[in-house]
Amino acid sequence: MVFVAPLFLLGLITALLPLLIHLIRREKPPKVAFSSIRFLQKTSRKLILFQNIQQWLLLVLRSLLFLLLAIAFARPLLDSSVAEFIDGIPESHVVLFDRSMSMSYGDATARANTEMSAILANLGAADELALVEFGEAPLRVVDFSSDRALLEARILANNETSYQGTNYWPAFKLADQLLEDAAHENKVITLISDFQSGAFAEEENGWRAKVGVNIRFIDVGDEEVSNLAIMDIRAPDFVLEGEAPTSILVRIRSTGTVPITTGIASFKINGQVKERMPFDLEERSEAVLEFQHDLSEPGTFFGEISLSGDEFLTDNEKEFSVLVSPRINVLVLNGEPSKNWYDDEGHWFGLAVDAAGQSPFSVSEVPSVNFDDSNLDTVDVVGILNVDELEPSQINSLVNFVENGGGVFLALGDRTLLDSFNDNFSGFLPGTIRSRGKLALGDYRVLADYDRRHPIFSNLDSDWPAKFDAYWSLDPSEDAEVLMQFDSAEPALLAAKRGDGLTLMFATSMDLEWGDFPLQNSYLPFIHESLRFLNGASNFPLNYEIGDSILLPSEYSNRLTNVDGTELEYDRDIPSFTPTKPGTYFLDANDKLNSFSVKTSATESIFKRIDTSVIYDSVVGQGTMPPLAREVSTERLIEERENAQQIWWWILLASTMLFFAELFIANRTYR
Amino acid sequence: MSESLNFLDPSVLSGLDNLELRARVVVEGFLSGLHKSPKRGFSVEFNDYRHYQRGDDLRHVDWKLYGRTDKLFIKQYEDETNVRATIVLDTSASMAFGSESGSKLTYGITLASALAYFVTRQRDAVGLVTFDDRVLEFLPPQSRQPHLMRILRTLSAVTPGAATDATKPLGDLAATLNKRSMVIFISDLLDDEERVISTLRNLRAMGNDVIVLHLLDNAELHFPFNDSSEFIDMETSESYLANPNAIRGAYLDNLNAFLSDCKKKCQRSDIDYCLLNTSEPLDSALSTYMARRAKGG
Repeated sequence: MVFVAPLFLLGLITALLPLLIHLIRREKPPKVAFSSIRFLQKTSRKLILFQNIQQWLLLVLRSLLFLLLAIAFARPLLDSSVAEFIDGIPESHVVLFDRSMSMSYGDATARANTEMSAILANLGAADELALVEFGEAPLRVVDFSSDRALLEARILANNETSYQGTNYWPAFKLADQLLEDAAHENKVITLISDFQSGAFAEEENGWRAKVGVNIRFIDVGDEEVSNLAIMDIRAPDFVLEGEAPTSILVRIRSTGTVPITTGIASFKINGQVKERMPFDLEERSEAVLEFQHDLSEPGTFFGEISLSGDEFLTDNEKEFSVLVSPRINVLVLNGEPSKNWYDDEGHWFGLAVDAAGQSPFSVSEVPSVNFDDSNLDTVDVVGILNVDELEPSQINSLVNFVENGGGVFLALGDRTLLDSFNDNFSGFLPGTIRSRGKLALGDYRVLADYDRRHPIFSNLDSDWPAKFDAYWSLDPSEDAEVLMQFDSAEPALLAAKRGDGLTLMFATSMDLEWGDFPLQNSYLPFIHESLRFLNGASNFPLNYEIGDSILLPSEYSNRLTNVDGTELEYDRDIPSFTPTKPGTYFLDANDKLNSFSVKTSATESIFKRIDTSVIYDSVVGQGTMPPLAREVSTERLIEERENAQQIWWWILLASTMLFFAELFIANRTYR
Repeated sequence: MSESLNFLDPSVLSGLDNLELRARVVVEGFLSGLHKSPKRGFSVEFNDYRHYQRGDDLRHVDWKLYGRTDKLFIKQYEDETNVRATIVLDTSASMAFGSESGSKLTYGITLASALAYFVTRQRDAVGLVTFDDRVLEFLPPQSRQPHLMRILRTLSAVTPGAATDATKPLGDLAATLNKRSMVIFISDLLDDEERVISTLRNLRAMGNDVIVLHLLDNAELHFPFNDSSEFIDMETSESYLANPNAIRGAYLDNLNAFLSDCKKKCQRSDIDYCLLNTSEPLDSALSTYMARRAKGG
């Protein structure tokens, strides 16, 4: 038997009332002076005994009456199975716990933990609960369990927030997925969050939770928020050595409901404060500050912008990194200089390399016949374009150049001689040529596949519409990498390491003679990235946001440390690293030191809130009934059970009978 | 009639401090109502005839005069005998009990005073004995007016005494009675009634007229208590914890058996017995005395 309102069982104490009254009255009988008690003493003992029995019987009846009334009010339910349902229809419950950065504002996390405790406290015996913590991405913390002690131990152990942004959709999807395997029909997702508007983009390809999955919202955000935030830092990832002072733009905004109008921004480079600048937001919603610094020396610089003026410090500091690179000197050996610019590889190649106003390259060109050792003194990369033949001394110069760390980009063409080419460059280039690719009239080849993880291609678009009328079939050497293939699966670009240097071999020409590649958008970045690769320059981006998966450059993949010098673990097989804290990180390998910076998402600093009804309407599946409060569903279930059993009816009937019995006996009994 | 009865009401009488006045009010009030009663229509002194009234004893009809006049007259005699009445008043502790209109002792004192006054008014001799377990005061019967005042003073000084033991005082009284007397015994009889009545029987056997005026309070007669109480015996100080409602029936049965026994034993011994409820007027007590007096006692 279980009781729906067990507190009323306290009323069982009232069963002692008749006894108490009896004892109190018995303790202090009034004294009456009487002429003689001789007629009292003659009273029959049996009569007195009978009267006493009647008195005790009355006492028992009255106590029993109180007992039954207390039990009736406590609403007993028979059938042990009901005990499982006494807290309502059992639920499969997924709690989505917002651990994003904004939850560290004020007492939001403490309130969330309190709400979490309340959820655990109200968990029914048959309920099961799973916990998903989320920021940008969801994380399953606890799978479905009904073990309240286990849940409490694991759920309430974590009181930390993250620096992540907020995205409800992945969390909702994961919760919906978890509920597919839930034990109960009654499925509920509870979202505990501060409900920033940025966390919820209304449309997610029409996705909705499955029908029957309900959503409850627990808002732990502050109604009034005052906050200053760095919304954006515009600093270049790469700066060429010797350029004009670098400009760093900072966008600052008061993002709370209570505006903050003044503050001071500080600018640091490599930990040294370079400038402080006050700002005023009295008349504008945001201020844009410009800091300038002369980054003249090659190397990596890490900077920091910090604000003072509010109490939410998490978003008051943001860091950035800048790589100052020297210009790359490129020597072009043009095998077919031509007056017709469209038929001149050197023209197209030079146009791609040096045409931009701030090109990172410095290009010089010599005819292949004039090339000698002296041309390589200040050169970083040599481009060999459609050269028919080179002297052995020229070949030796190139070999030495590459062995000592130089880079060679070789593009084939119509001047390439099948017989002598392989002899000249055997063992130096990443492959040999086999034959001219044969194509029917009107047919062509396209670039169909490439190594997307290779530094050359990692930052390039996937759009390669160039068509090639002719090409050379290549045979890669054993140590060569095929970086790009034609749609015939024949290699288009080969790479190999030779000594300290690198060589690239492109299977077709770089002008319009064999295709339209120079006219495509991908031509220029392809050449830039190829030359940078050959020079050993990193194209590794230096600025990230929390949650980004950072593919670390293989050449720096030895040691990753944070600004304190603590070494960090990362997946060395891929190798990738997902930062969880903002700041500057350092990659240290082969005496090269490179840094990158991670900052928090500006969206997390915007405390504009979203109405939960918008989320509900967008996420809950069509046809799902609105959720009933736990109390309401419990009350309904209890009502059903009670109406079926009607125990209270029998108890009240018994009470009434006892009442009349008491009346009957009391009327026959002298008090 | 109602006015006279009002003056005989114990609650009215208890408002009179002066015992003589109280006795006079009782007697005068009693006598003033007496002539209206056909049963009480003759005096102890003969002076004339009077018309027969319904209810008169036919033994007192003058049949000769009826023969001459064809009318019924009652022949009234002058009592030439002198009565010596001794009032024996129980002043034991139990007599102090009273619930509504005063205690049994107060009632008994008033009654004794009224009887003394009444007897003296008839020019008879009256004496007084007060006792509890022994004789406290003894005034031999005399018919003079100053004696009445002594009796009244004695009665006004009476206070409740110890436990009741009437045997010895009555025995002592019997020893002093050398002439035929009337003994008016006023008591609640809460004693060993067997022995008391036996002693009274001896007095009766000695030729004395004995009247027992048995005083009981209304609460003793009806036991109107409700709450469970500890009843304390006023004479022995014993206590008895009881639920009155539970034992009322048994109590009343026991009491009635006691009263019935007393009455039966008195009647068997030719002793006049009159049970008096102290909440009721005193006239029934006086009537009992007069009836006994009329019998020629």
